[in-house]
Amino acid sequence: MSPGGPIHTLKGRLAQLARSVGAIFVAVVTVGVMLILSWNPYTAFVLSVTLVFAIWASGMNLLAGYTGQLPLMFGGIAGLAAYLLLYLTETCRWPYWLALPMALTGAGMAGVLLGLPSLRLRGFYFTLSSLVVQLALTLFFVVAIPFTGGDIGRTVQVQPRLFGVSLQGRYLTYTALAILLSLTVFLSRLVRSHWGTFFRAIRDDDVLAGALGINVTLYKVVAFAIGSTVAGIGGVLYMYTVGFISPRSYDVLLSLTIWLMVGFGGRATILGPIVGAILLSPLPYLLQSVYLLRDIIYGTLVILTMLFLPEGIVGRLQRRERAESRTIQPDLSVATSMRKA
Amino acid sequence: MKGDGVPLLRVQGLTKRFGGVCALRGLTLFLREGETVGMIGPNGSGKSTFVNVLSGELRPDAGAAEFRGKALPLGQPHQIVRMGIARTFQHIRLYEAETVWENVRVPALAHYRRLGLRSPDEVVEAALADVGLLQKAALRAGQLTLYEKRLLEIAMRLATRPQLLMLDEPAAGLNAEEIRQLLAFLKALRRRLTLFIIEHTMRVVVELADRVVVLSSGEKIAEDTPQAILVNEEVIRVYLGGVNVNREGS
Repeated sequence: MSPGGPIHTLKGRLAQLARSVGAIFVAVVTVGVMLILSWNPYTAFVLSVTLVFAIWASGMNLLAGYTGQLPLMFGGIAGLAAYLLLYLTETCRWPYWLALPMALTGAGMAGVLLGLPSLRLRGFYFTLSSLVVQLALTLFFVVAIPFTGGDIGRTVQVQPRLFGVSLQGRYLTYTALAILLSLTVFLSRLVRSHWGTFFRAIRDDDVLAGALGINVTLYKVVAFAIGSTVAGIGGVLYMYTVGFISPRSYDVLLSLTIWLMVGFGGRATILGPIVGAILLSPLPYLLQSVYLLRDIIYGTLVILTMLFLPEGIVGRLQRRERAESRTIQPDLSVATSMRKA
Repeated sequence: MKGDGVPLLRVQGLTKRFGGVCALRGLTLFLREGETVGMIGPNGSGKSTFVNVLSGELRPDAGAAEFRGKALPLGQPHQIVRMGIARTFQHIRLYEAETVWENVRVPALAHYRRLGLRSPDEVVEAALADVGLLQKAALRAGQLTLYEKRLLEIAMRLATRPQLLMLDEPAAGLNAEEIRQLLAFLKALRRRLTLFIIEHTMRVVVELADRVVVLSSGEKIAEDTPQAILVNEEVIRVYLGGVNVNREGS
């Protein structure tokens, strides 16, 4: 359950160092490529959308991957934050940097409040109940016309500004990238701490986790609050990237698309959802010239991955790595006696 | 006979219904510190329900319980564990895909600070050494034998440093040799813990328990020493199906 375990060999440490150096190299190259691509307005837009999906997928992974709850209301919570921010900044004329924390806190609290009844449920029944919440949120977005603009949606009038720079185009891409990197570091530390151990213990058997003294409800609520806040961050970024907001932008299909990216890249892995988002979210834009075949190619790719890589791309790679590391583990008695000495 | 210590657990009028079925009917019970109490009864008599309620997994419809004079927060499993009560399950529950070490590390992480320790690894090592599984710490739990899995379950509870350990059918599925080993282990364990054991294997109850409680249809029908229970007419009729276990030598 904990990523490490009691055994630390020199070979293991060297392998870990090599992995860290490799990860930093890949991150630097990725950021470099993104910076180059962001000079073109269209690729900057596609990049922003990809980064927003990577943020969303990372947030959903905390819930669906690490705590075993598939929240189909994820899109609705994202929409709630976006609508709330737009309402506060453009209708109520609140300063942006006051409205943003309010909108994100609102998303986190709404996620917990709407999710609380569902937290008593498990597996399929939790997912079903979260679907009902999502449908209720979509209905709210449609009928609350003074707040949301109804089914026809609302256009974003004013882009937010940071240090005198309007956050649009490549500046929005940089903002999304900075948020994704910060979020990745935060989630990485979280899941490697005792919180991550307890999240996985609850996911694998919540009755057992409770019997071992873990406050199951508390950890589920915290995971839900974090996941909902991340949904809200993505919702706000998506709104400013697209420049438009409507109930369709944040419906159940959005939740399913994000879930697909999590499963495609690898559930319960930090990099998996990011890999899933990077590979899947630009596809609709890249395949625009063959739009008749677009959905077929997209669907075939997903089905093939699920058939041959059910743990997702990163999940498969990590499983192979774990299997290899097990074969070189020494007898624990030796390690224990060495530690005692 | 042990069990002359101070009262550790008092259960008063515990009732639990599932729809029209009354699984526990106003059960009253007490446990003294240091004693080992066995609970027997036919299938469906409410034994596991009693443990489920007392460990907080189920909320009772009526009744209350006190542990060391403090009200037990029934329905709050994690708080009950923190008060010093741990339980195992009738059907073994482990994190089978994880290693033995990682299984015990889950409760160790949850409790080492409360226990005033600097590292959860100290707790894990002590618990695994207690049950004799330290050499198998790097194995996955799913690779263990049934008996070892039972020991791992107990090690996970020992990592919470309980004062009362409730074992739900610990000998279920074990062969005669494994039962002998389990008995030896539990005899050592009862010197430092109060044990409450639900068991169908009479040999385990007779050899371990200072006192036996017999349930039938959610009600306590007898409570006495194991020797007295074995010759109790009512118990023989309800639970043992008219067969005198002493004579049969089970």
